[in-house]
Amino acid sequence: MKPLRIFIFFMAVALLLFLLALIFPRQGITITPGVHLKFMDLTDISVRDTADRDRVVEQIVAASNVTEDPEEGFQPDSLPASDSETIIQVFNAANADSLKQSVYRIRFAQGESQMLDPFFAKLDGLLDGSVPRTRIMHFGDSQIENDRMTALIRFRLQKQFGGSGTGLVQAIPLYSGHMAFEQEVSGAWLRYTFFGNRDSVITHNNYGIMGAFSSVPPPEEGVWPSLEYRFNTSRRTGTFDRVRVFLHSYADDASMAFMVNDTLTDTIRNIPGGFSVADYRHHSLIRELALQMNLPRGGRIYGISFESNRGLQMDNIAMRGGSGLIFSKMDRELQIRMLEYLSPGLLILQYGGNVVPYINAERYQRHFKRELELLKDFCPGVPVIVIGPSDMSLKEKGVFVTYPGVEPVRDALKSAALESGFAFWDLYEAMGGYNSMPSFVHSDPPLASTDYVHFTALGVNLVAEMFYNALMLEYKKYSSQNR
Amino acid sequence: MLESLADIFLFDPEKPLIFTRLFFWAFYLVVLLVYSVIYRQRAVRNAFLFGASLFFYWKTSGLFFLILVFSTFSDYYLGNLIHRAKRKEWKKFGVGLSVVVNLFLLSYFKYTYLFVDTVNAIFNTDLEVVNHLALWSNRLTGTHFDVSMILLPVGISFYTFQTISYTVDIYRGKVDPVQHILDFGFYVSFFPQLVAGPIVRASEFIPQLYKRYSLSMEEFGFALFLILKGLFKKMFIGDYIALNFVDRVFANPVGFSGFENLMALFGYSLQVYVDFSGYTDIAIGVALLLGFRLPKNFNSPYKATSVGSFWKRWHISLSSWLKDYLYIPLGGNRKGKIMTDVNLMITMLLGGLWHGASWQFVVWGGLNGVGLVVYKQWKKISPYEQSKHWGVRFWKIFNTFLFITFTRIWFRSESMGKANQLIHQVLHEFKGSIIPHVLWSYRLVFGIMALGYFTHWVPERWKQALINGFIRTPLWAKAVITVLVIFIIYQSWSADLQPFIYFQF
Repeated sequence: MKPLRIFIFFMAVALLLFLLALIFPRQGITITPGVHLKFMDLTDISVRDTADRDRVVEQIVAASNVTEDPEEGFQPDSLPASDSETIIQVFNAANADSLKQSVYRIRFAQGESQMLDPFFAKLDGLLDGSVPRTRIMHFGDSQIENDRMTALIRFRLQKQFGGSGTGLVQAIPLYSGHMAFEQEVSGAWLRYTFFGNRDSVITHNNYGIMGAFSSVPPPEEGVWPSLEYRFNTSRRTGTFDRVRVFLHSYADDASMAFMVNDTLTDTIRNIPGGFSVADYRHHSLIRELALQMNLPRGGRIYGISFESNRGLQMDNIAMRGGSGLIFSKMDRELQIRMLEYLSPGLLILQYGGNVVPYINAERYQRHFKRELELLKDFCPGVPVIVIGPSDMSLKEKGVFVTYPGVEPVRDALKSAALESGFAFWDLYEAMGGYNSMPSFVHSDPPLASTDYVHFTALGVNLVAEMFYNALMLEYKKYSSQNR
Repeated sequence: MLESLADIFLFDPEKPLIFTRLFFWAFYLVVLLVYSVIYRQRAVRNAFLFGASLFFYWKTSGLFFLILVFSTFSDYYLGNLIHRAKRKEWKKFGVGLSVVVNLFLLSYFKYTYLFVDTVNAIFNTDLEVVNHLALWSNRLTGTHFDVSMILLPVGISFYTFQTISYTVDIYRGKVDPVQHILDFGFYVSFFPQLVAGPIVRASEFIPQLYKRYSLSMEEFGFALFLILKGLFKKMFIGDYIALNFVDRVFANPVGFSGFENLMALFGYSLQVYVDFSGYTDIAIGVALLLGFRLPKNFNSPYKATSVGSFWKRWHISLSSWLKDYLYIPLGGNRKGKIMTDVNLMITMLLGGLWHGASWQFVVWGGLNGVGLVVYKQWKKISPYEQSKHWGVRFWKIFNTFLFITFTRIWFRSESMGKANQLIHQVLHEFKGSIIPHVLWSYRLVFGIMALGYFTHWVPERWKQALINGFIRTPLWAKAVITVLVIFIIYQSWSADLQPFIYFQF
């Protein structure tokens, strides 16, 4: 067969494809409800890929100090110096060095720009010793799962203002991949969540502020069920000197034993039925810890906090599939009691991604504002920063484009936050705005997963660094005005 | 207009000239058109294909094509030196220099970071990579290359091995040097196999440079079948399962249950095969339509009944290269049983490192080496080694497949940490209770995986019947089938993204 004939053959195929593209309906053909056939039309051939900015993103990574693990190889922070636009715009306008100094600002409602001052006053108090400790509670959806985002912000803040430990963790975590410890469980523990798929067995709504609890089985043949931890003490999050267990015993006379480094160091006895907090302090390094529970008829654990006596704590409270609308549906008194014990100085709520594909943004704004007002009642005077969703892509004829719902949901969260007198940080704009996600996915190394929604460890640290810079810019402003 | 011209002729790292892009097929059509005019004049034909290949490489790798040109010049002249030298010492010097230059290029571009990172990790130093080639060029010619990073030129692992095979084969007297440097350039850079193989031996390819073009109707049908099969494997199966499942899990193993991790591992085992073999299928088909025969590179590798048999079926051109140019020169099996195993391990460890510059690839190569060594002993004592029973055969294939899939953990994981996370999830967070939910939610992904494995494992005679059937169809039917296959691939390419699914466990 001669090459010319092969050429003609391929031209014939191209012609057939051209004709097919010409006659195939633009909206496709639905065969059955699940089977929808599509074909390109002629304009699609000229469509440019949305990931045009890959190189920009790669250089962003090269220019920033992000690593997969914030506690390793992380450079001392460079405090932000200027107020500027999106990271991409900054990069295009200037050079990589200026990127480290750039920051996408936190937005405040009119007249509320001092809103974070009470928290900053506590940070100053940590530095001069007048405040022993304060706490940030970082709530969010799967974007912050497994301590993502929180880890970097916590590390940098604890380095600057003191403090150690992981903060609140669930007794039976969704993930076993925490970098601060390895955990083993003995006994028939179960984990229940208020967010995501709720277990219909649970008829009450006493889930606590983490929106989840673990059921503690009663002792079996004299053996107390236990949670055993081996801490990575080379990490800041792996060292702590205080353990608080938020629990609910179904009967009086419960007790809890603390075994530190294989030695029984304390047993808290006569724990009454109902909600209580077992508070344990230790003054030397804890490498291994076993919490042994004797709850005669079983009970629940709402959370365990590994923390330091002094300094800053930061909790990572991830609610897979959540949209931040559960606080008003769970038992109010229990949440308030836990918050009283925890005494947060700042709340961060990072949601939105799970409602982008589905919900009416206007309704979401109303409901989210209701939750914010509720949190205002739960902890009066405590500032809240709402972080909006990241960019998220859907695939249209093979090209990735931003979900139409991202900007309305971002606007809904922003309005809800500002109307409640709180602050808002726009993650979507900070990462580059419309169609920035494909650049994050296609960068090398990847900054986001191929679901075009979730950041990778590297990507999440990049945006966490941007948020940290934004927070520190406000703190710097506060400091300069108050000195 | 200017922008369109720039798009066509300028290098854009975001748009490499690969088989799955429309632009490649437009390029190929132009090549075919010119080729149909000049194919009878052998020298012009070879020079034209060399030029087209350099353009292809320029579009894929930018200025790195200069390295390809350098490699072409150095090995062409070294080949001549080896051939003409009367004294053995000069021949040895020539072949030694060729190996050193090629391995230096490969090591510099591919392994500098691994070397520096390893030194830093062992000695707690803080060394940084400086691109001395860029520095040297900047100082000498005033260019502005980035000296702080070394990028890997596409295909360098393949063409350096090809040029080594050329000089070594001349040294061994297996092949004569090519007559003209343009012919040699064509051999080194032939675009269908330039970026992902197969690794073509000089002794197999160079004789074709001097043959007249010939292509039977049967061969045309076979080439077209290979191209369509390759596109289907790569785009319909590989890209879909990677995008919608496998890549997500490997990016964050702890975000998924052990069962999902395990499924992703099996998914990857299929993906790496369909991607790689699909790409070489297309390469072989595209080359054949130009009248050049490239060697078969895959032979249903997951039908292998042992690790040894796997390596005779997987990336055959590399395995045989490693055997002839590394294992045998090391001593092969000629220096006793222990040294045979040592040589095997060295070959597999270095073969692992060839696949990628990280310690995970060394672990992967090492595991395969251990698999080979252990199997060699096992088959001596196994009572079933000679059995022809289908159950025994099934069991051997099953075990080999499981073992190879297990080693893929290190082949795919971006870091040792990620590999450990995957193993941890499978062992400790398996979450069997969510299996039905996972299977249902990812039914399309798993359905396509099942299709991929099914088509792999069907009997060879079925596949042959399909190929023969396709070859026998008239030209017009081939055109219609081609359009149909492209239409089907488009469905997968344009399919909605599988949404992230939250399994509570």
